[in-house]
Order: sequence, then structure tokens, then C-alpha cells
Amino acid sequence: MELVLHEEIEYNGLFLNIEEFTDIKVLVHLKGRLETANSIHFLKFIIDLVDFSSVGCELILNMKELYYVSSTGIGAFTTILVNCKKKNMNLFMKDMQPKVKDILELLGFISFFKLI
Amino acid sequence: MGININFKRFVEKSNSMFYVTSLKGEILYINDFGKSLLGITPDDINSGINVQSFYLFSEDRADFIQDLQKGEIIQEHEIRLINSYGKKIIGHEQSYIVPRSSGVDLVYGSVNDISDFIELNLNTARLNLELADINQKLQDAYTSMAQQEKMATIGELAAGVAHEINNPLGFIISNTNSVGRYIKILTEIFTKIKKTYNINAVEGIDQLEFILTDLGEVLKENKDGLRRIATITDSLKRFSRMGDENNKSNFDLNQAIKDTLTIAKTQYKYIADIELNLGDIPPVFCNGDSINQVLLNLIVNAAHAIDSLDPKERGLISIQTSVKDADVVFQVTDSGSGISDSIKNKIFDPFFTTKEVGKGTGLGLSLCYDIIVQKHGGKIWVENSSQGGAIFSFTLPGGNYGK
Ligand SMILES: Nc1ncnc2c1ncn2[C@@H]1O[C@H](COP(=O)(O)OP(=O)(O)OP(=O)(O)O)[C@@H](O)[C@H]1O
Ligand SMILES: [Mg+2]
Repeated sequence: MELVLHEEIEYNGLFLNIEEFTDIKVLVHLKGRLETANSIHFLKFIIDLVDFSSVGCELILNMKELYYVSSTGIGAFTTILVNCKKKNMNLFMKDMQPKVKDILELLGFISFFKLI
Repeated sequence: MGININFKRFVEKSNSMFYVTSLKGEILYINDFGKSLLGITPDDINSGINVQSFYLFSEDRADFIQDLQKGEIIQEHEIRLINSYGKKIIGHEQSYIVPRSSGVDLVYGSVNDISDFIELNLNTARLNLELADINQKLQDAYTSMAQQEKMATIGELAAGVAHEINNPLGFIISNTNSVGRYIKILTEIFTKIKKTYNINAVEGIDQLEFILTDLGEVLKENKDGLRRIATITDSLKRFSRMGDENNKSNFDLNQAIKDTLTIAKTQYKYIADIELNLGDIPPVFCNGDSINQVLLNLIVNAAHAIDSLDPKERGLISIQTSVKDADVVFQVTDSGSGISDSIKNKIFDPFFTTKEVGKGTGLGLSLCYDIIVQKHGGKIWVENSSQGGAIFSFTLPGGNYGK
């Protein structure tokens, strides 16, 4: 994977944009819908990014414009979280939409994630 | 014709929900499986029940219709429903719009109940997460065990070395003091001789005068060095398991912090301001001398960290005490440049220092570790603050005061 900053990449209705990448902070903007059709691509994208990141840094997913997350999306989030923990990285979810929060809550996952 | 009848039978008896609704959501047809999935009766259907009432998140329906109207034939997605018994259902839905000349478009669709499948999958995910947490804890425990073991061995070694050094050190110091007295006497006698006799002609007399003055200087330096060695051996001796560490009593940590700040004032007054946030904490049952030493080490370290900023700027040392789960918690935050990951797990090791030779022994934090963890069963750790400085914290188990 080559690391391109400030360039929107689309996977079936999900738009990803790396807005910041430093030794201490990685910020990714998520836009659109995270569902069966793109969860795998999303997962691969972020896991590659985690591989690239420095040990102990923080990964922030800006979810302000992410309007829908399916159960496969939640699965992707948990896999990402596990990978972050292995690298001693902190995962934060920023500005999560209430609807997305509801589904995380419903399926009993909210407590695993740090919302900011 | 036969195909049509058989197909109708298939739809009727299928283990998926099949439905036809209007765009507005009135249910026009739903198969048996659908009825039992949603928990609806034929009466419900006759009274014009609306699918909207089965959506777990009411806005989902409008989003879904919007997607359908984008015109693709089949839309596939995950649907979140709640049936009339209150059971939440996640389904995989495929549907499409059938436009009709009458203008009343219909929605045809099927839903597979995938709740169990998803629950299983998410359970695995949850287990994975918990596993990762447990792994992390194990790793932490392992690191701290390794550290304790290392400290125990080094502690014994250090106590032995300190003891060995202390004996010769004792007589060197006492001899040095005697030499000092002798030099003083020699100088006095020399001054008298010079006054009484004319000895200026004696060859080398200038040199003798110089030697007598310089001896004093040399001796002063020696004493300085000896004092430094004594400090080190004193610190080393504290590693020893014995000593007065068992001499514990109820101790007012807040008062001790104030006392330490008074004693250490020269170390920080030109460097940083102090901010105190001392909570309402119970007395701690501990060895006061040792805890005082921990406080002093941490505060001096904080001052040094701020002092080594480049460019220099006046900093802030904030000290906090509080109670958490029956433990007393101490925290000191400085505005220095923090501790980089590369040295984070070395700073509690004996003799690890980044300070120049002669300035730091690298024993400060290892002593703190020994005192807090080994001698008092507490914890000590470091983090970096969001402003970039270091936060050193320790806990002392409360609740055993008076024992
Ligand atoms: N508040 C702090 N901020 C940044 N680095 C620190 C801080 N406290 C300790 N350190 C780092 O940890 C090292 C070890 O500290 P420690 O107190 O054990 O020894 P020292 O301060 O170097 O020497 P001594 O305490 O014997 O004078 C220091 O040299 C420094 O690099
Ligand atoms: Mg120190």
C-alpha cells in the first residue's frame, strides 16, 4: 500500500481519506456507508495503515460523515481494535453519528471503543 | 402455468420472509414465515399494518426507499427490525421496486433472518477483543515480574557492594579529615617560622608555600568526591531487604509533600511553579522516611526535566493526591519534554540515567520502584501528558493503616 495523504479513496459508497499521518497521530476520515459491500476493503485499508504506523501512536477515525454501519462493519472495527492493541496503539472514534452509536450499543460493542 | 403455481407454493412455504408493500409501507402480502418472524396476525394485515412499525431505527425505512428509487433493480442490504414481541432481528434483505402505470409503485422483497449468524460472529469478535485485553494484561504482569526479579537480584548485589565500599570509605574519610587537620597545623607552624626566621633564602621555599595552599584545595575536592560516593552507597544500602523498612506507621502524605517541597525549594524555585491539588486522603501506613525519599526523587526529576528544555522556559510542576478503590494515589506532572518510548522501560533500572556523568546516578527511580513496589506493595508508573511532559504516579495500598 502506498500512503497518500489528503486523497479520497472510494470503496462502494465508502470514502476514506488519510488527513494526518505522524509518529504520534493518524487521522482517517470516513464518509458514506460501511456495509457488506465494502467492509473487507475498509478493513484491509486500515490494517495496512496500522502496519505503517508507529508503535504507541493514536489512530483516530473521524466518523462525522459515516451514516450507516452494518454488522460486518462492526466486525471490521473490532478486528482493527485488536490489531491496534497488538501495537499498543490507541483507537479513538470521533464524532460518531447517533444512529451508528445506537447499533454499536444494541450489539453490545460500545464499551470497547473510545468515543471522542 | 405450473411454474407459477409451484413458485407461489415455494414463496408460501419458504424459510425466508417474502413480502409486497406499497411505497408508503402498507403490507399487501407477506408469507407465513414473515408473519411469524414479525409476529403479526391476519387481523393485523386486514387492518392495514405498516412495515414502518417494525423498523428498529425509524429513519432506516426512508433511507432504504431512497436507495430503491435510485433505480437499480435489486438492492441488497442489512435490515434491522423489531417484531411485535420486542425481539430484535437483523436480516439480509433483497428488494426491488415494481413501477405500475397506476402510479402506485410496489416494493417486492425477501428477508433472511441472519440474527443468529451475526450474533455468533460478533460473539467471536467480542471474544477476540477480550483475548487481546487479557494478553495485554499478561504482558504487563510479565514485564512487572521481570522487573521485580531484576530489582531483587540487583538489590542484593547493591547492598553487598555498598557494604564492601563503606568500610574503606569510612577510614578514607576519617583519614582525610586528619590530613586536613595536619595541613592546618603545618600551615600555622610554617607561618610562625617565616615570621621568626629569615628563611627566604632557602631554596624551594616559594614552592613550599604554594604546596601548602594548594593542598587545602585538593583536599576540598577530595572531600567533595567522598561525599558523593557516600551518597551513592547510602542509596545503594537502601536496596537491602533489611534496614528500618519495617518501621511503618500512619503517615500524612499531603503534609509530607509540603515538607518535601520546602526542603527541595532550591531545586525548583528558579525553574518552575508548583501547583498543588491535594485531595482528602486517609493516612497511609508506610515507612515515612522512604516515602519522603520517593517524593524528593520525583520532584527533583521533574525540576531537572524542565530545566533541560531547550530553549529554557519557566515550567509547571503539578502535584495531585486522591483516593481510588481504597488506594491512595500520588501524581506529579511536569512540563518537561516527557519520556520517549525508547527509554520508557529502562528508567526504573538502577544506574540508568541520561544525565551527564556526576550529575545523576540513575538510582533515583530504581529506589522509588523498590520502595513503592517491593517495600509497600504499591504500584509506580509513568505516562506522557497530552502537553508532552511526564506524569509519574504511584499508589500505596490504603485501608491497612493502624495495623
Ligand atoms: N520527570 C521526568 N521527565 C523526563 N525524564 C525523566 C523524568 N524523570 C526521570 N527521567 C529520566 O529517567 C532517568 C532516570 O531517572 P533517575 O531518577 O532514576 O536517575 P537520574 O535522575 O538520572 O539520577 P539521580 O536521580 O540519581 O540523580 C533520568 O536520567 C531521565 O532520563
Ligand atoms: Mg533522579
